[in-house]
Formats: sequence, C-alpha cells, structure tokens
Amino acid sequence: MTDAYIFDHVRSPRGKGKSDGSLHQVTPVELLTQVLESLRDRNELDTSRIDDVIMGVVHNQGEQASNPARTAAINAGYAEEAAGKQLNRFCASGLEAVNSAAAQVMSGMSDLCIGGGLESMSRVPMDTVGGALAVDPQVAYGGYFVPQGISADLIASKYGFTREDVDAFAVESQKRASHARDEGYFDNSIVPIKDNLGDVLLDHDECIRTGTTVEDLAKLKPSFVQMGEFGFNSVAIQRYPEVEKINHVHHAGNSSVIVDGASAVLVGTKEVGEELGLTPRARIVGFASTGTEPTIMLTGPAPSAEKVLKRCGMSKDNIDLFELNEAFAVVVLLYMQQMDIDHEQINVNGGAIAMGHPLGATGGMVLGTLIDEMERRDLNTGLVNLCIGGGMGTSTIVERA
Amino acid sequence: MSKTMNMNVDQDGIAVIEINVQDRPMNVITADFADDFKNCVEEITKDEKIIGAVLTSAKNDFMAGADLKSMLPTLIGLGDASAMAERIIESHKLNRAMETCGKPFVAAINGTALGGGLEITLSCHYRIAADRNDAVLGLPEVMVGLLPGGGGTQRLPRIIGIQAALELMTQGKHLKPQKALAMGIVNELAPPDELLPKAKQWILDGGKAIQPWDKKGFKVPGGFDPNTKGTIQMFSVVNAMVAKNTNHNYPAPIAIVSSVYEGCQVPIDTGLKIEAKYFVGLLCDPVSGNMIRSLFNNKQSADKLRARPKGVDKHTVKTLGMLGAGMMGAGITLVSAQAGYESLFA
Ligand SMILES: CC(C)(COP(=O)(O)OP(=O)(O)OC[C@H]1O[C@@H](n2cnc3c(N)ncnc32)[C@H](O)[C@@H]1OP(=O)(O)O)[C@@H](O)C(=O)NCCC(=O)NCCS
Repeated sequence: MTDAYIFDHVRSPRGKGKSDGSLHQVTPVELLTQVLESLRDRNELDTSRIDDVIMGVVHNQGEQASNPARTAAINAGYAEEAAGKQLNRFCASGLEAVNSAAAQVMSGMSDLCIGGGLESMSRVPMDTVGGALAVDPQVAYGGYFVPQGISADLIASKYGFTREDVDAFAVESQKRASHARDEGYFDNSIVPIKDNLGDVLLDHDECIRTGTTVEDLAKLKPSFVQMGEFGFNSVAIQRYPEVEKINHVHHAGNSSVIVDGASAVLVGTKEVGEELGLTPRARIVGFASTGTEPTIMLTGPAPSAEKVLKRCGMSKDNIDLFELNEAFAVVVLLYMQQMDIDHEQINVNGGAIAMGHPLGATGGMVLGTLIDEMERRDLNTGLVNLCIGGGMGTSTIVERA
Repeated sequence: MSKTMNMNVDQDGIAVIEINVQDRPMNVITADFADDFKNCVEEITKDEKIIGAVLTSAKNDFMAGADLKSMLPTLIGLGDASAMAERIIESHKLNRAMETCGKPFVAAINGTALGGGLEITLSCHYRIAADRNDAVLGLPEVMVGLLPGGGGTQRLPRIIGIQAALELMTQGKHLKPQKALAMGIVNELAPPDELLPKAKQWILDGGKAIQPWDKKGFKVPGGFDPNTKGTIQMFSVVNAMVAKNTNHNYPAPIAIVSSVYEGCQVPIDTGLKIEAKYFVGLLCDPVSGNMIRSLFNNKQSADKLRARPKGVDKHTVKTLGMLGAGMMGAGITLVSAQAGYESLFA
C-alpha cells in the first residue's frame, strides 16, 4: 500500500452563520474558491497534477448543490484535469473527504488529491434542508429519529452529565480558543476571505467569546426544551426506557456555534511531493468510520477511535494528542470518559463551542488544527474524530512526517 | 329502485340519489351499495337528459361509513393482501369516474357523515351540509386502527391542507357542521329543509364539474413541498407527536401520516394507490381487527347491556370500598374518586 501524506492545509476563518455574519455575503462556491486559490498559491501547485478535489458538504441543496467541489476548482482557475466530487457524511464530511483522498492515494489510483469541505450555514440554513431521515414518516417514526440537540441532552441524561459539567467544559473551550488565537496559533492556516475588490471581509474566527464565565453561561436558557415537548423527548425515552426524564442542559453557550466556512487539505504520495517540491507535514496512518445507535446519535467517536486504533495495531496510549469536534459539550465529556483521557490531551486549542462548526468543512479544520498543534508541541501522533448525525463516528490517525 | 338507494330525475334533469340501505338503522357501505352506486354513476354519465346529480340520504343521517360488523369476520384471517389492494384500487375508479364524468355532483349532507360516508362526499364537486347541531362529520377510522381508505387521506389534504387534514385524521375527531364549514370541508350550510333546493340550485347556476386536483397547476392548500422549511418542520414534529401519542403501539396514525406525505407528492391516482397499500397493511395487522372487536362491536354490546341476565335491574354504584389498597387497589380507588364515586379504602 502507498503511504498518503498531508503536505498542507488551509481554511477560511469561521464567520457567524447568520445574516449579520461577515461571510454571509460570500457565496458558498466563492468561499471555497478562495480557500483553493490559497492552497494552490502558497504551494505553487501545478493543479494539472491534482487527480481529485473531494469536498464534504452536508446540506447539498440550493447554492451548495451540484458539486461545488468541481465548480469551485474551476472557478479558482484550477486546471481542467482536476476532477471534483462532493460527498456527505454529515458532520464528518470534511474528514471523510480527506480520508477518501487518502484512500485514493493509498490504493495507488491517485497521486495527489485535495480533501476538505464547505458549509455556508447562513445561506443554506439547517432547517431548510429536509431529507428522509427527519421528514419521511416511515423513516423518522420507524427509526426513532430525534434532532441532534435532543440526542445531546439524552447523552447528558443517560450518562449523568450535569449542566455544571457542560458549562465548565464550554468555558474552558472559550479560554483555550482565545488563548490560541491571541498567540497566533491559527494564523498560518487561516485564509482571509476578501470581497471582489480585494478588501478583507474576515480574517479571524468571528464567534469566540473571550472571557465567558460559568456565571455567564448559567444565565442561558436550554435550547431544546420546546423541541423535546413536541414529542422528541418521548421518542428518546421510548428508545432509552432507563432514562426517566430528559435533562435539557445544552444551550447556545455549550453547543457548537452555527458558522460559515471552508477547508482544504492537500494529500498525496511522497513521490509526487518530491516532484512538485512539497514537504510532507504528516502521514495518514489510518482511518475508520463506524455506526452506532441512531437515536442517541452522537456516541460514535469512541467506537470509531477504538476501531481505527485496532486496525492500525495501536492503542490510545500511542496517541499524543486528540481532537474531537465539539458539536455539543457532552460529546467530548463522554468521549474523555470512555477513552479515559484527560482534557489536557484533547482540544487543547478549544473547539466548535467557541469557534463554530461549519458542518461539511469542520473535518478539514479540526484535522488541520491537530497537525498545527502537533508541530508546535513537537508531538508525534494525533487522533481526530467527529460525532455524526444518524449515529456514526469517523476517525483519522496522523503522525508527523 | 335498488336495495340501497333510489334515484329520481327531476324536470330540470337533475338526478337525486337518496341513499337508503335497507335493514340498517344507519346507511353503511355494503357490497350492494357499491354496486348500486356504480350503476347510478354510469346512468348519470350516459343519460344525456341528466345535467348533474345530488347525493343525499333518505334516512335521518347521511352515512356512517364502512360496515364494521360485517367487516370483522373478513379481517380475521385475511387472505391475499395484494389481491385486496387491487380490489380497493379498482373501487377508486368509481369515485374518479364521478369526479371526471363532466357532470356536477353535489353532496347534500343531511345529517351525520362519517368515514366512508364523508369520503364519498369528498369526491363530489360541492358539499352542502344541513346545519344541524346533532350531526357530526369526520374520519374516525383511526379509532378502530384503520385509515380513511376511501380516498380520504388523498382528498381531504387536497381540500383543506396538510396540517388540518392530518390533525383530523390522526385524532379521528368529529366536527359539527359549523366547524366543518369553517375548516373548508363543506362549502356551504343550509337549514335542513332548504338543503335539496340549494344543492339543485348550485347545479342550475352552472357549478363546475371539476375537482381542484384535476385542474392544471393544482397546489395543496397551504403548500406542501418536502424541500421547504414549513413542510420539513411540520412533518418532523408530526412524526414525533405520533410516536409520543402511540408509544409505537398503534400502527394506524403513522400510516395515515405516510399516506398523506407520500400521496400528496404525486398525482391523485397514484396517491390513491399508495393509500390503498397502507390501508391493506392495516387491515392485515391484527391490531385493527382487535380494535374493531373490542372498541366497537363488544363495546356497543356492553353499552347496550347485552350480557346482562334478564330480569336483573340495572344497578348504579354510588360508593366504592376498596380492600387492600396496594398499588393496583390504590389506583382503582383514585380513578373512581376522580370519576365522582365516593371512594373508601382500607
Ligand atoms: C444551540 C443553538 C440552537 C443556539 O442557537 P441560537 O439560539 O441561534 O444561538 P445564538 O448564537 O443566537 O445565541 C443565543 C444567545 O446566547 C448567548 N450566548 C451564546 N454563547 C454565549 C456565551 N458563551 N456566553 C454568553 N452568552 C452566550 C448569545 O449572546 C445570545 O443571546 P441574545 O439572544 O441575548 O443575543 C445552536 O447554536 C445550535 O443548534 N447548535 C448546534 C448546531 C448543530 O446541531 N450542529 C450539528 C451538530 S451534530
């Protein structure tokens, strides 16, 4: 099997995913275009050597439909030879795209690919995209569907995480993200997004709330109470009769912020790197996805981590640094408990609770954050993963090249 | 003159069909009824002197719907489901013939119209109900584990919109004529003695013999598009509400929701096929047969005290004494007290 190396990664800043967000005026394809331009320019890439541009997009509807990966590549002036495809593994789409790029390289069928993702949540909002999962009565009723927020509150209820636990975690995420931003840890990866005159619209993650305290968060009302009362709490309890009552602990301050963003990761063989003058920064050791029970939905990270570790003949003690998307605080708390890892080893620069989770793009971003931090701390191995709608987990192990 | 209806044509060329199923206190849909009704529709279509038809009842009420009593034995050990679905799909052709024959049909709903009775009126081009306080309209099939299988899940949402139709059908609610008018299920109300003249007048005034869903560019009232926020939110919440209310124990409510969801995205003829399949699915499920037996047949018979030995007077409980008020006894005492009985326990 050929080894797959990561040569570089870039991302947009994360803009507030509402109509007053700084990236709201930028079309999704333009957002990705600028990220792809930057990846090309800073590596002086001969884009005719790129076999595939693979982009995760969760809400492939409207402006984000019809393969924005290929569209953005062409729009960015990439060579015609750079094919493009769009994929969807919900919240892990961006990481899945990198894994797919790696798989193409490892199988010997591609030399150089870009994986990453895109989501403009301000322009293609979550609640305007349906799909059978939540909407088709046979599927939703038969599958005991509940929205993510209810799943997160179900995890808290079932495993006994309190409002204080999740709020304390969120405060720490804000603190770490502020610190990392202030110290410039993200600077090398962020591509400032500009308007057509070249003026910068946004060059930093827009949603970090420096100085958030547990007292601030204690004031916020839980976000998913009404949704639960519509009937989703009953559905959750029908699936988990051992849970007597859903304790609604998640709110705007301890859930991932809704944001706009795009990411791109350059993956290829050692040989193509040598030929094009690219220095490998990391090697993709392995990756795995797995399914878990769909109603509780967000418990996939630990099983997918165990799966990839086993497949690679490793144990969690071989991993120096962990990164798990902070879709909701409880997801990371449960993962730390199940994997028996300390907060000091995971999400050391904060996460989506502070900076936001642009669904399809996030996987590429958290992978990039992990690699940057492994370099900064001079650590060798990292494991990154995300929880996923529909009850899944996707994990990737990387090591410094 | 047949066993289930009379048809007379007046001097204006308006056929008046009076449903009158013999030997039944209420009009119900029997095999004979279906045959007779088919003959009437064919005659109305063919006879050039006939310009339109009024459908009403010769009894105090319009029609109660399917004949549950004769249905039960056929449900137990139901044979070939596919053949059954084919028969139901075939039977929809009659209503479609009536809707598309080019002559206006008006339902003059003189009293209560439930289930299949109301469904027939939904196939008429216009509905006038007698403004009677003792009459009710509704599609209560869900109460016996079934769905409105006479086109109700397809026509009602296309008349009053998805949300209102779902509410009515999943809860099996009965409505007074005033409410049915407000919801748009009937087009007009009339005092009982003006019902027939008004119905005829609608035809004479040039009432159109076309259903909304047969018009080009038809859209479900209130909108229905699984790619828009409104529909997405409505269905995801409805699905959860059904789960909450049924605990996943009753198959009918979600079958109704699915029949509406899937059927309203396609032309009505396809929608009727979808409905027929969900309907047969419920017929084959033992839940519906058991509900008909327990909640309809046996309950009616219990309400009428059929099992009571002759000559024993009806006894009214005033005070309830419970010996041994453990978990169950305490519960019985509580519900009895809540129901207004003086209740004591030791
Ligand atoms: C939880 C959620 C519903 C909140 O959305 P929202 O209500 O629009 O959130 P907002 O950003 O407007 O914040 C709401 C309030 O909380 C406040 N707030 C948010 N974070 C805060 C913090 N750290 N400190 C103090 N206040 C905070 C905001 O100021 C705002 O207050 P205001 O209404 O007075 O302005 C939304 O973020 C969400 O759904 N996140 C999860 C996304 C998701 O499901 N992703 C997929 C995962 S699988």
